[in-house]
Amino acid sequence: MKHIFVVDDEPDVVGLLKTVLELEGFRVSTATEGRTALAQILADPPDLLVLDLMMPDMDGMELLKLLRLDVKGAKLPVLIVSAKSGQQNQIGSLQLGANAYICKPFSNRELVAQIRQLVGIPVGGGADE
Amino acid sequence: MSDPAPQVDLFELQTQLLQHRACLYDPETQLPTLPAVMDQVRKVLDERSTVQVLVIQIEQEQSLELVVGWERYDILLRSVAEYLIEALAATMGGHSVLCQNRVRGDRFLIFSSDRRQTARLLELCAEPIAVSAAETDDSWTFKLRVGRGDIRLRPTQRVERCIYAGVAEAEEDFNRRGEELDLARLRELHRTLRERQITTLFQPIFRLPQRKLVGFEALSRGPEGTYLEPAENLFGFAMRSGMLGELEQLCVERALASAHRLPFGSTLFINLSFRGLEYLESGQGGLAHIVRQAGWSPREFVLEITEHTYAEDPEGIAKRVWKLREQGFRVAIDDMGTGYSSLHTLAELRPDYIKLDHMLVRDLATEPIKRNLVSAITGFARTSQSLVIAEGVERQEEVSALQELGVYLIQGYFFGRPRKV
Repeated sequence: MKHIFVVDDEPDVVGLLKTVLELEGFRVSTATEGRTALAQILADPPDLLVLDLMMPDMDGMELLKLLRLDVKGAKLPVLIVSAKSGQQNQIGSLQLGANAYICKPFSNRELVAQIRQLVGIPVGGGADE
Repeated sequence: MSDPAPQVDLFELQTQLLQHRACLYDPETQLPTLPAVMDQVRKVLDERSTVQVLVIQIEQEQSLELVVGWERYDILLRSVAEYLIEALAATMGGHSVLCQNRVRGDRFLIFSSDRRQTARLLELCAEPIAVSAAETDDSWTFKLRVGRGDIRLRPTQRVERCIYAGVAEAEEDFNRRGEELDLARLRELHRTLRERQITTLFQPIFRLPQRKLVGFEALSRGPEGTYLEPAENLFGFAMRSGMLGELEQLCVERALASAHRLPFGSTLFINLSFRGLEYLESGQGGLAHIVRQAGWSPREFVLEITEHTYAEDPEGIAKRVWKLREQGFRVAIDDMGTGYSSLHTLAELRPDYIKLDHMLVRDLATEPIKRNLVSAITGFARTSQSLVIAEGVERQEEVSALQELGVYLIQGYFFGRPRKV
């Protein structure tokens, strides 16, 4: 079963994403703060990180930068989910090594399709295969 | 969990460790920066009371990263780091230390206690370095510039400040060598302009799916075998020495002189910076006059303006562009996706064409974030009624991904290399 880690400072968003992704057959871990998220990710590396850019303590960009410095986080696929739609943010996260970028608001279908692509599940395949 | 407190501290420590690492090590090359190696340098000084410092950087104009883009520049820095690590291994001497001047900086420092090793390193750094074709779209050769200094321990001075003084000495030497070289290159550039030694290559642009020839982009090269031959060096150096206007005018004239040999009815895409455009327009009759004198009409031209020059003076460019458009020229925004100017500011320009930078095209099929950027650009193009051209297309997968995203105008090695006519 593929393991997805969701980091977003809004508990509602985290809860929603958890429900949606679990229905799709993923194992989901969550965090609402950047610092604790980083520690948990490095302790138990998931198959994919879904990351919000705007967070109060450590923002998504900083988390991504630090993650890429650790061997365990260097190759981890990262999907940025953000309310910032500017091209500058997309290029900025590309420079730090993000793999994909989705702007809020997004549709569940779009998110799931993007995640399946990033963790290498073929179209029509199940997440627990 | 009976006692979670110690674990939280451990997490905090781990985060702090990574934060400190981010301040001390370059993420691209993995090399330490000077603050991280101070103690190692001090140990080298324990062995010998004088230590040589080399300051090493890619021989470049300040604007190299602007011209080639950050992705390619990162690749170059990585290959310099690899080259220097190998050079140090090959010239084993006394103790030596390699580091970078700062995180994401582009200068490298070598400290060595062995004079013979320093001499050998200087020889190795004088050789041109080639970056393999697998990493960039074409192979690229570059040179390093080196400055030398000595660290001398003084009894009344702190060791750290002796080290800083030695590094400063090497940097002064580095800058002086640069000035000498610049003078030689400035003479080379003057000669190129005087003797009109610019060669124009033409690269075809096709429309899919029928593969219909739409036009050609004119690409200028400096005198063969000289430093000024590659476009990056030619335009980068001219920009820095304030001769960009003169150079671009010559490039336009040379392109016009060879373009009559192109298939009849081809549209000609010509690169111009904003500064070059201002220079051309300040002449009598402006660009339109030059074009008409060569027997062409402005309608047969597309002026490619690079995205990063647009960011310098959006209002000035918008005004200039509207004026040129009234005379019949069409306009393209070049290198889209490399800079930071937002789509909204470009909307004012309503370009006829938007050219996607080759960095966005590379691995487009497998990188969702690039697809995202490209589809944002094609979306914008639809509303502003611009056509999108993809540059640097080299593979079938890229062609398919581009078509999927609605990009039908293609330029790149996959369909045709730049050639003389």
